Amino acid sequence: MNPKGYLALVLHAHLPFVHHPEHERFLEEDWFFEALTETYLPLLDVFEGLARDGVPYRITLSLTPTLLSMMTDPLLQQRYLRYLDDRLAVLEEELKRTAGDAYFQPVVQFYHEFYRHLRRRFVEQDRHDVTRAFRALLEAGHIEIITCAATHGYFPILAVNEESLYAQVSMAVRTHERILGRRPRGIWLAECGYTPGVDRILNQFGIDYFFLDTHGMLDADPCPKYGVHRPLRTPGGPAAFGRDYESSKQVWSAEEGYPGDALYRDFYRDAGFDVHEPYMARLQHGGVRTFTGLKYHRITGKTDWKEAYHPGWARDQAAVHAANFMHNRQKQVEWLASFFDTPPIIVAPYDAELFGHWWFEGPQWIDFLLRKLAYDQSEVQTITPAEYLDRAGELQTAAPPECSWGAGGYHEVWLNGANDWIYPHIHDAVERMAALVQRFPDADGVPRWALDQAARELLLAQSSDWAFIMKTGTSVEYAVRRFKTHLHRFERLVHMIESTNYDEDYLRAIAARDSLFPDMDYRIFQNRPWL
Amino acid sequence: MELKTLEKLRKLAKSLGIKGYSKLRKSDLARQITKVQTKAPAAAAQSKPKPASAPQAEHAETRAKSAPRTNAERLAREARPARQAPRRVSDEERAEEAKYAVAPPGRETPHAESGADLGEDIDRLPETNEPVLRLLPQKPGVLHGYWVLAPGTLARQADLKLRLSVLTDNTLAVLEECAVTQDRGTRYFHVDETLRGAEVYLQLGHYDDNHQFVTTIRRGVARIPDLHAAGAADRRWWISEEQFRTMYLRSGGFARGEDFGWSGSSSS
Repeated sequence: MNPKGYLALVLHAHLPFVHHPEHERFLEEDWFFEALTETYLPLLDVFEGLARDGVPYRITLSLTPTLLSMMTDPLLQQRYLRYLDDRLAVLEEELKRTAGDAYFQPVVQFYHEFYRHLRRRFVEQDRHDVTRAFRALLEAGHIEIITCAATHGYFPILAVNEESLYAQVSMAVRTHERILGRRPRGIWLAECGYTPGVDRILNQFGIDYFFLDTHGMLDADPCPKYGVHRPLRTPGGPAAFGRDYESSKQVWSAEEGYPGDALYRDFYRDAGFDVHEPYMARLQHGGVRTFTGLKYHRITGKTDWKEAYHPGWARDQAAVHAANFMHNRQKQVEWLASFFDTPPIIVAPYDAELFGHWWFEGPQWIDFLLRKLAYDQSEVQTITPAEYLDRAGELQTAAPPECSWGAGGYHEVWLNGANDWIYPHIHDAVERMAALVQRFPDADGVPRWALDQAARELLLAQSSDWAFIMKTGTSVEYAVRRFKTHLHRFERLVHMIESTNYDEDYLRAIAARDSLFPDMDYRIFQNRPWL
Repeated sequence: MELKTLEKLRKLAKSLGIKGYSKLRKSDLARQITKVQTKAPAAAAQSKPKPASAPQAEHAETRAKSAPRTNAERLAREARPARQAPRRVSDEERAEEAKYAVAPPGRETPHAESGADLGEDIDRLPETNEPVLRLLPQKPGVLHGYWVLAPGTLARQADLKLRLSVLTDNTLAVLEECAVTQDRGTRYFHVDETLRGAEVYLQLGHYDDNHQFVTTIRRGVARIPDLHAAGAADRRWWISEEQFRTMYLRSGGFARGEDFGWSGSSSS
């Protein structure tokens, strides 16, 4: 039976490239390890479980080039194993400490089993490289993996220099193909940041579609005839899918959303601050307490009083919330189908790290949701945007305006008093890089090495994460230092290239640190595709 | 500031008149310096009367972004807390922020490790000597401009002005004008949202004897696109306009007469 409408779940997985071989332990590398532990590996468990059980499902995942680079980096793979072993060692002690504690011993046991399972899967199944598992699911047709700007550059502000957009998309497509074995059909624009002209560039790289926030779609010119429930054809060629507000709100909203339920795990209470035992020092950084990922409490309520986390109760609640979400999508599709002459699509995009890292039970919720959608109803069917486009026929052509999914809907998050000082430097550096490409069209040997590394440094400086962190106030010092470091390295390399006086030791040292994109070609910084 | 050596921090503390600085540990010293420096500008702002004219400037800001010339100046700038935009956190932001959280709010966090082992003086940012003038849209009604002048420009031409104009009927109507007193800087311009679709230009130059505006940075005339594409759109409906309106409102938008608009965060 044909469904009345479609649901496209889209998870955007991203972290900036954090790789510090110069330090034995580095706090910010934990961002990646935490996301692997709580989001990427649990999601893989869910997707593989569904495939194993023969559940028909479709889901779309964007894996950014920086994230793919970290997942395939041997040093980070080894360090992740150490991260897991450190926690398992502490949990052994925690099992002894909480013996006889009816409230907290079950939570500790839960974590002990959780970490043992992750370690087993990471070593034996993934052989340290989780991209293998994503690739297998992609090849089996269950998930669609799309790309994102190479270093998550925010296009509306980078668009001052078109070379930046070409470089970001070029390196993204190249990395996606190198690691996942095929060219991406779709792209997640970093922060849903769109500006007219981006569509034309995406088209030149063979990208079929991208996503816009709700207002970006509804404010398109002319008005979209089906709202956000059918993609538009942009003037440049690719299709634009619009974010559905209602389904987003149910998951994202702090007030109405599911993650705030009292039974779910509390994000901020962490054993790193609650447990004062000598063995906890193993999880500290420089003797200072930090999040450990061992969180023993449930949200409980709005006060500081938190009760013990009960994984079983939380799991049951995730099932209830999955049923509620499905019911709302059924009603929504019925309502839309009542006046549409074509099956509507509900596009529900989320940050992947919302599931697991922020909302610990999120992966279980996805598991329940996809199973229920497959077996408990027939109105809504999951689909990937590429599949929808293949069946959709002709689309309405309309021009979307500049927009993003940040607070306010435009560029305020990435352009404000806390971070605007970075843009004159970025724009100037791109002009210099583009000039070097013109001046050295066929560099070879050490000059080529320096030019490629300069392009890496410039892409890293363009990460939207630094501006975001500067604005939000978390880890600002690190973000400022990262931006300045990449800019400094770029400047020093340009000086070497212009003076033909190469410091190969320095070049070697920074190439080992900023080691992503091994197939870099500095000529991506020009105003045409370079593949 | 934690990247600075203890010696440099002590020097800065001395210049700020902090007592007993030599006995303080590095982290305490850094805290004291930040405390003193955050108090000072706030106190200055409170005691300074607002200018009587220039209503636009009340919302706009002009800040010098010249590269620090001395170590002391650089240290002072580093020690100053970054200007924060009004804190308006969307749900997406809150979840995204959690990706970078290493401790609960309000807890002490370890200092970022220094990468000084390669002898990199990362605080000395590269200087742009090419003249530049750019205008970027921030959100409907707010534009961000920045400029860099060629060395010696101000010495040769003291009465430079930054001029924001709107082009209507082939004529530039000035929206805002302010004096340029520094080699490089930034400014936020607040313009009427009803200018949707208009071509807005930023120019940097001076008035000649005939009161004609002469641009100094020729390539810097910047134009912004409209942030709301649908404002001037002709509407061709497949579904009824009423149904579209219902969908739009359910999606978080608002309607004002025949126009549709978008308010606040995309998710809340």
